[in-house]
Amino acid sequence: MVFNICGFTHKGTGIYTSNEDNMLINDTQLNEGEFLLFNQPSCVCFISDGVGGSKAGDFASAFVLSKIKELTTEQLNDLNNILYKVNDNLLEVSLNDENKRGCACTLSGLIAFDDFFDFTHIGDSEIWLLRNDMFIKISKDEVADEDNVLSPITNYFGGTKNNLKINTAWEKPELFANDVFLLCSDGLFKSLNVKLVKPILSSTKSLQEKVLKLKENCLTLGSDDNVTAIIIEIISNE
Amino acid sequence: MFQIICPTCSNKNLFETTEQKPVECSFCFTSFTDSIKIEEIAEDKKLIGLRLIYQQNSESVLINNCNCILGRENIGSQLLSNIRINGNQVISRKHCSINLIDGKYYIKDEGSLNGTFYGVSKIDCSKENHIIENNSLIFLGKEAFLVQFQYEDTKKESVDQQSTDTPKETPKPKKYRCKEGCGFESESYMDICPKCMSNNSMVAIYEN
Repeated sequence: MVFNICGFTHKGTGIYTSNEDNMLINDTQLNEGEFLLFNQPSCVCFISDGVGGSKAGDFASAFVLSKIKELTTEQLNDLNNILYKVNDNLLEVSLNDENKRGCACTLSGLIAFDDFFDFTHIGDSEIWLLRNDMFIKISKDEVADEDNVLSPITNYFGGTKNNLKINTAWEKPELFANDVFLLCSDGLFKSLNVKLVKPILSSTKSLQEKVLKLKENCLTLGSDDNVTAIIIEIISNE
Repeated sequence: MFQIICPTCSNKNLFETTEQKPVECSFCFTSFTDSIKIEEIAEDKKLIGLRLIYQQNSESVLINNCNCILGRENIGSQLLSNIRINGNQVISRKHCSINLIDGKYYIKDEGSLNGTFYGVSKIDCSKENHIIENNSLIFLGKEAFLVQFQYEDTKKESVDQQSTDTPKETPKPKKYRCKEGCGFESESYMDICPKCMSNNSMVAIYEN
């Protein structure tokens, strides 16, 4: 498989003085800025959003992604079990450090290498798929009330006790050439309507231009929340 | 200045000339088809005065942005002093005043012998200022004058792509004639024939 990947993360234009989002694009973990990769044979892309209201959300999101970044290919095959261990580590850190007590984060991502691919989705970050002019959300927000934007999330890393339950039953699409996946924190769609995102992803612009346009539009319209997005284009699934 | 309002995000895509028409929305990258509507943005028009066109002979009086008094011995004297009926001058020496208040023109009678009236219903302007609208008729006595505002820039109409690609020249009428048989003719179009007071009776005449 061949992937083009580009993403950005930004603290937004709201009250947040720091960015509690983190993103991982293959071996590169970022807390601010953009990153672009072309013709990658593999894709290990994750977004983690520090849970607002908890202490040290930025630490939690960075912690989880740094653990995934260290994993070998064999370990990625067994990611779910490892994520439970990562969660245990995070809980241990938060219990032992007053300043990090209760820190929590979400996690959404796509792993693809050789013939293996899998999606991970924990919390209310989002995974979207653009295929044949159809733009659909393939993840489901794990919140108490989906109709309420302020509803607390029900599944996350960290917190004060073990709340993590990785759902493996959700319907995950196969990968096809020309598919475009969008991983984003909830901040993106707080700023932009779906109908404003689809034409950008569908355009013939370069991947970098699309990502920069998403970022520019978020900041132009105002993003109260931290905002992160990764666009993954599947060039070939051979 | 032109604009295309994006059908997806309603973003206003501005551009100077039709040759610079964007192929996509600058905000959401939506592609614009050839048939997308292009609107010309009317720039702010600055009102610099008004012209009173005497409907009997199309002579006119130009009034700039200042308060003034019309009469046969005041502004417009050259025209107004020559208006006679049965040899008598019908416009008073000091007939009416035109005042510019907050960017709008008002008319008021100044104690004229034959009176000042506004519009078809002939509103008596002797008591207070009456606002003047573009292309309206005012009457000094029984004599009709068409009001035409004078702007710094001419009004620009919106155009669509088709019309910009294949511009069609519309012949300009030589004059307008009342179709109700009163015989009134004018070089400019009027909603109301000042002679027989018929509504929408003026038809364009393209040949002599």
